[in-house]
Amino acid sequence: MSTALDSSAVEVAPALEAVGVSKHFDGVFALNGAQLSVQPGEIHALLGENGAGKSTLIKVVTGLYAPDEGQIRRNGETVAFANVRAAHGAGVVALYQELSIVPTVSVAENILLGAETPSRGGVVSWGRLNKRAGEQLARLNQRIPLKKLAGELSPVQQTMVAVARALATDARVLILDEPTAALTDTEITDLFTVLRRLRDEGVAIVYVSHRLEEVFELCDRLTVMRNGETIVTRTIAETNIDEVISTMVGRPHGLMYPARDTATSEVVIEVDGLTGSRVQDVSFRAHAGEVLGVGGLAGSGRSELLRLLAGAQKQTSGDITVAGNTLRHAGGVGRALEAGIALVPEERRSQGVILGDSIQDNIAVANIPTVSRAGWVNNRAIARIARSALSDLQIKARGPRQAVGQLSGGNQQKVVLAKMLSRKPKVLLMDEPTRGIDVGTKAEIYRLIRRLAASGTTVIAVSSELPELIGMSDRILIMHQGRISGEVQAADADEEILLSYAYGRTA
Amino acid sequence: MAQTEAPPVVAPATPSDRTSFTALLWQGGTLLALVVLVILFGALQPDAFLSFGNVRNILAQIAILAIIASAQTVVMVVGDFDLSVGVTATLAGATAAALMIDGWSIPLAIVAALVVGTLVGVVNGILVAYMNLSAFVATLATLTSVGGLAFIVTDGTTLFGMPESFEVIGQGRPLGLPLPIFFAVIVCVVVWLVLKFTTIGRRWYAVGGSAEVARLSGVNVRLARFLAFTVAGFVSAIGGIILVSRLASASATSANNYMLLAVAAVFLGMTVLRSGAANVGGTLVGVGIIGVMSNGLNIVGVSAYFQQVFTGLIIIAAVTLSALKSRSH
Amino acid sequence: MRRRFATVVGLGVASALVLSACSDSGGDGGGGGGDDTFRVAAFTAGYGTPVGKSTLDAFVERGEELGWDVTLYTSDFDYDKINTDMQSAITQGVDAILAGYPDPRQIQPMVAAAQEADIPIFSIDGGVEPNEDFVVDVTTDQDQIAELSVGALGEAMGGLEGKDVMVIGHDPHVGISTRSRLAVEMLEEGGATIAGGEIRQVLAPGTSQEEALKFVTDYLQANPEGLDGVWVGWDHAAVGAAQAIEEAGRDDIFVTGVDAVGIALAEIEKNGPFVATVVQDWPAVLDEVMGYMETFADSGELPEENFVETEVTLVDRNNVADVEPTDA
Repeated sequence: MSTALDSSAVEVAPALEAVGVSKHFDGVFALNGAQLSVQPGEIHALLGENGAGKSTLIKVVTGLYAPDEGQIRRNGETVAFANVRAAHGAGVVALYQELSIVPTVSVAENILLGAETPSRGGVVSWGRLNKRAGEQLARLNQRIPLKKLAGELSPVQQTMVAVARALATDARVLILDEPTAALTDTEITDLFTVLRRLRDEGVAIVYVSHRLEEVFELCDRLTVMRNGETIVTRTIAETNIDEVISTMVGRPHGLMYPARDTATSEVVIEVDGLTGSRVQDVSFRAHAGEVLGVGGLAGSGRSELLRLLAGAQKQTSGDITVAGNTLRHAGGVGRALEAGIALVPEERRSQGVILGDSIQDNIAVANIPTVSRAGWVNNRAIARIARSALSDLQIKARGPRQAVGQLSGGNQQKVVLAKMLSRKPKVLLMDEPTRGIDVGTKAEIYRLIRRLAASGTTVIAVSSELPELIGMSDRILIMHQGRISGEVQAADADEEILLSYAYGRTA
Repeated sequence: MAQTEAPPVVAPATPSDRTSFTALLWQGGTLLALVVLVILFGALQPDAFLSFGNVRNILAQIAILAIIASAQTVVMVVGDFDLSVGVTATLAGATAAALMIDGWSIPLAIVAALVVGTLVGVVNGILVAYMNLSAFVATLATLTSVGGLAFIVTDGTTLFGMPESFEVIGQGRPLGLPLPIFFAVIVCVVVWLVLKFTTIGRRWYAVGGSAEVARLSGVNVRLARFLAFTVAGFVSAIGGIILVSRLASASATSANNYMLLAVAAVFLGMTVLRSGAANVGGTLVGVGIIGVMSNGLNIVGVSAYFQQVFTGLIIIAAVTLSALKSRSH
Repeated sequence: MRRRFATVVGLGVASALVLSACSDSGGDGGGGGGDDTFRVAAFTAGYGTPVGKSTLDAFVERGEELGWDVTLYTSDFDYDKINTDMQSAITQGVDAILAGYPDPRQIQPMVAAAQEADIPIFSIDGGVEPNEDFVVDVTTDQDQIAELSVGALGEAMGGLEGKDVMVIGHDPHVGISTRSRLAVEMLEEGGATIAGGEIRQVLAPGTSQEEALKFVTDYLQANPEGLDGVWVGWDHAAVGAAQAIEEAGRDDIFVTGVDAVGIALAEIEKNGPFVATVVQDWPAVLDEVMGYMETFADSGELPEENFVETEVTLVDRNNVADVEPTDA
């Protein structure tokens, strides 16, 4: 469009625009005529379930993939980025949580990584390097020691360093993919302050997140994708969370959480004075058919509690009794599994599944002792377990031999679940059961948890999302600095009570 | 809000078939290389290269490499690396030779040599699995020390004069086939069975896929890695003993070259599986490529210097192909 | 706790390695040494070869008997290490240097340092031609080695005219490289054809037996009628060639080697394809060098000639019983 001669010259060309972009892999469309238009000086949310095409679209606009069809425009001009470097050159930078910094070099070097290193005759001029890096941090109003190794920083500081680096290379379009996943609430507030400041300087920000509350707090407009297509673009004022969810799912936002009616009074697991790294003298009981939620701020010891219970971390004192057997965790995860405790870990991709292996092989890993006799594995038994897991958990895959890395996040999570459920645990521990999973699959996971409880399993689930904690649990323990700071029946809980416990204000 | 119905996201071509076909082509790349080499040399020297005698000859020449490469496969399945398989084979062979020359009985000398090889594996396993040294550093250290031990055992000279019945192991020809071929088949089949059908094999693959996932799934990761190195030491020793019998002599460096060839064979073999994991079948394809190339180039009359260059180029080509394969997905 | 334990053990292993490396290169030399002691730094990059080891060990032993302060530096064909070690030895001050089987092309840094410090270098088998880097280089006569071995091979084959002979060499080794080329010349002059058209090169001396075994096996596959003899530049590879011929069931192809190591002598005694080798009299060479060094230690006089070639002897079935293996 030739806006230059337009009478309404107020309208600026979009900082970044994707027009009718299509991309397919092996005949399957990942993007099908997707649209995105981001103005300078706005924070624009890009939303959709996993597999909706958000990541592919980002990879196309940052030069990682070439589109099969359609155009990318920067300030109204059509561009074709040959690679990520070319996109950087044009001021388009994407930040990914896990790849954004080099942990083993200093903060200052990280910030100037993409830019030209100040040097004299090939020798790095540290004075100028630190000065220029400092200027970028000052722009973000951040005080981070420049000479510290980036790997020693907190997650939010690392994100800030990554943002500073993008700005150092003169980024005018900043794409953030789930930037708050590892951050605490105060850190999120800090990040938002910085992002708003950048917006006011005229930077265009694309914000990808599953956390809709944050989107509505931070963003100006949003675009919802589904099945590789752009469904709608709206200003925040024009819409609401329920509407966004039903657009993402493609159907009205139904009841997410199934009814709580399965808890019994039979004690399955009894924990007495459990102490280990970050966990101090924790005692509780949980019952057959009960879903016990565990909440608390990041670093409160909630994940460590699960890892201690699962034998993944050494306990220094205390007793864990499962169905009458007291466990000593010198034997590690294997012993805990035998006793009937199974863990679905927090980091799915690095702790839960072997991405390159098939569904069947992944499920087999936890089942080696149960499907073998005298050291020989019954491969047919494994295949049988895998096939029934596919149908029981409705895992969307071509078959048990498909590589797990090719599945969506939700289906990967179901594989982790299948792996652990095939050991028929009495106590299932789940750390962030729905992290990074799309809304549709989330509801399925909640139903599954309840189904397990109905069959007598005790589920102990850690979540950092309070609505989820309240919705899925029967009872909630809140941790603060390694100790249990409060206990609430979920039916009586609200976010306010949980938060006050989480901050250590014991009732 | 707009609620347009999405058109089918699947393009007309049946995608799964196409995927598997192209994937098959990529995966077959390494096997294809072997076939191409055979056809090429067969065309250049039809009478000499494709004769029964030469096929038997090639099999005999790659038998020991196949055994040592199986040892390396086990370690690489776990995601580690053993630089010491060659010197371990050398040391085991030299030990057997020295003991026999000192008058030990053949079976006792062989058992002692197997124990020596296994011990090297145990040391590697302890350093890597329990001391948390990187496999590269740990096995580089044992490579150096064990290499020195081989000089001590042989006193720097070439040991010879083992009993003639010992030479049967490397030089016997039941059914007209050299005995090392039978040993190689047995070792490869056993390693394959162990990797594919036993609990320890499953655990090795799981640890190689992701040590953390394996640990959180109840696998004793340290024990699995320790055993992998131990087995590698034992299997390497078998290769070393057969080599000494085959040559009727033991020098301080006789099997050292096998380490790099074994690593090359396993790398070639890793390109055969989509998951990129080490596997016995692929390793044998890699061993075959190395063996056919060496034999074929000798027959055609190309210098050993060029053979080295070509081996390197084939590795680059195979690994590049498999990298392209994973990028296209 | 575990980390500390691992560190301690790691350090232990590392220091053990360092110690073994030191003892490997340190030799028996005494420390210090007063002004009146004659101090010699000896080196060889061929300590991994039987002849290199036995000759240099004998030198150290005899030098110490004479009351010299001898330090031996060794490596496994790593001249970088040798140059570094020798340069520091020169800096610390020595009266003379003994070069054991040096590759004259690879010791220039040490030669320069020695010349600067005015330290004479005596050499055993330091090449095939006179070399100003050494005050004396006593070696064996490569021309005679080639002549004797080619002669023996010709005799076994019944003349050279019209015969196909494979030549196996190893160019990185100066001596082998020289005699292989001389052998090719002599073979061609006698009317023989070089099988494959050129010298077959073995990659590593340590694995040469197996390499030569494969060369000959593969060549016979392609050219069963195209081989009458194999001339090999050193015994280990010659043993491999002989094994290949035996395995192919042939009794009309003959092999010769050089060095007279034990395993080669055993092959010659067997009446197999291995017909002859050549013994280089290293004890005699050592005697000669010791003589020059003693004169220098006593009177400071340097030898007049700087290149001495000693006689070599053919070993075949007639005299094999009387010959001592050079690697015993």
